[in-house]
Amino acid sequence: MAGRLLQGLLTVALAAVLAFVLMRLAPGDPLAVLGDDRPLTAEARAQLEARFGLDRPLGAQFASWAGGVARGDLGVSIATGQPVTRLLLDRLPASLLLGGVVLVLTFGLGIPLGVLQATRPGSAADRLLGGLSLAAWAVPSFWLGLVLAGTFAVRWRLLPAAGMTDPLLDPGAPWAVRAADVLRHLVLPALTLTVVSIAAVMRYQRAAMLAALAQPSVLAARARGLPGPAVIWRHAWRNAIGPVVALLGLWLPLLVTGAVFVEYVFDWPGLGQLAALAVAARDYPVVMGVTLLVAAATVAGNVAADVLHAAADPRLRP
Amino acid sequence: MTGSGPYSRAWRTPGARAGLALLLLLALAAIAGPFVLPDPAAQPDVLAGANLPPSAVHPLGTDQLSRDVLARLVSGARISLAVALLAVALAMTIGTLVGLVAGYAGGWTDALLMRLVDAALAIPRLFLLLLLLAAWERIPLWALVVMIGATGWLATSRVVRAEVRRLATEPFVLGAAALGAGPGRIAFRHLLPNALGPVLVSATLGVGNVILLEAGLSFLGLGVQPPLPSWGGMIFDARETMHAAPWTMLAPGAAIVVTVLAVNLVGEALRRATEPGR
Repeated sequence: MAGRLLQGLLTVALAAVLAFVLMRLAPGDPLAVLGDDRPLTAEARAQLEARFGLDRPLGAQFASWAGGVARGDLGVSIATGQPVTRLLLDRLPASLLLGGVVLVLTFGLGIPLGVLQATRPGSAADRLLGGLSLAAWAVPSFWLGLVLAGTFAVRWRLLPAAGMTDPLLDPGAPWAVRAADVLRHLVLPALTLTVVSIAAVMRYQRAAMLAALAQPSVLAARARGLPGPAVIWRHAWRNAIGPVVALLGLWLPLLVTGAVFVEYVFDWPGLGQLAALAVAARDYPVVMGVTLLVAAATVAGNVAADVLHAAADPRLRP
Repeated sequence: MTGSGPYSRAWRTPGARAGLALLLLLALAAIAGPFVLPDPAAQPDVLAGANLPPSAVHPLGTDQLSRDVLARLVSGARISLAVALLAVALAMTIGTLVGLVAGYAGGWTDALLMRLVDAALAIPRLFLLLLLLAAWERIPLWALVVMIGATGWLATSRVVRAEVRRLATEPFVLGAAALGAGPGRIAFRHLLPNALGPVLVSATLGVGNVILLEAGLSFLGLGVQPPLPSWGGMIFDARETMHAAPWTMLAPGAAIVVTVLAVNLVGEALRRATEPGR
């Protein structure tokens, strides 16, 4: 396990180097956003380049950037001048809330649906659910978000269309009232993200469960006269948890990608919206910061999935 | 077709047939559209002709600049499909070559390449593209294709590598080596053709992914640049007109869903048909 952790750290470090190289290889002017509407004078440009360290050789830039990253300093936003680490920390809670709810919904719904499909392969229910998940897989998250917001928020006025809290709500309102307000704002973005990411869980669970149901141990349990649900959940499903846990690591990038669009469409003040806005403003250090955080989370998800998988499956223990 | 090979097996699934039929229809529309439909950039009457509902003249209505939505949709299909096909072709070529080299050379080459692939896979593809594309003033179409292709080969290279490593110890490969075939000949004549099955599957599923990805990038302003029509760009424009003219929002979204679904139906059937031990 220590080896797996070390390997994960190495992967994150390599990903950081890669991100730096990619960003610097890409053509474009990091200061363009500042000169968009008012051309920079030569002196102003030189001053700014010195401030952001852009006048130094690439190797030196990389060294100071990597040193900063190691200390948790991700640089300064070119557009706003704020420290990137601060911006990321400010937006982390909103993203964790949305991501956590979507995690519970996708796995909480995807697992039983996948199991249901696997226990009746080829049935009408299996084919309907399979078709639906394939269709959900094809839906662009930003489009679904806009359609849902247009329908439920703008046309029917049932739910808020944007943001995380009602700006008119008295900040001194009781705790329960404010929680209910956040919850109302959470419904549409969480629903959108769940629709676009549940298919992966259903399909994985279905395949894993089909394989588990084909095991001789399941046949033996049935032969002993155990009731159907006991066989399915206690005998077969326990052997089908592994692949679904492994999916956690694959599902996270899916969620983060969807979050960029969904948070942008719903003005949800999370990391995804930060990334979308930073891209629009061509604010490199912020785009880099979010990318690094996402890479670290992805690798951590994979490592956690491996460790959990080993814990759930005795065959993988050393 | 009555064969028992994986491709005829895939062809026998109703989903694959429906998907292929849809794609054929779409390709036909994309090719014939410009000869039948009005100019997608024409703005006949910005004042009285904007946001018109569907009619005989404009089957899918008009947008806020009085442009014909169907003409823009079909024009967008050409661009979306061309970008997706070219980018995936590029990605598959890189992925196959890297996988072939890593799997066949083994040792340090293999370790180095696969560590790099691992690191790149830690960054979701959208973020790789954000890093690569955010800096451009206006992204030329060729650059979009190259960047999408250059970020899409990672998983494929791993699949090909695994396939090559499995094949490398097969008797027919060892036999070819014993007969004096050089490494290049073994790699390209013996290993490559036999490792292409999984590549075809990832290529098909990759096209669906790239259509979604390109739509998303265009929505964020990093993809196909206006005035060129693209489905993602049409959705971006429709944010303001969707209440007065819902067709401007529904048409491009439905086009994406149907196209990606059709591609994935075919890819799914291929995957299941080529899967070992089904």
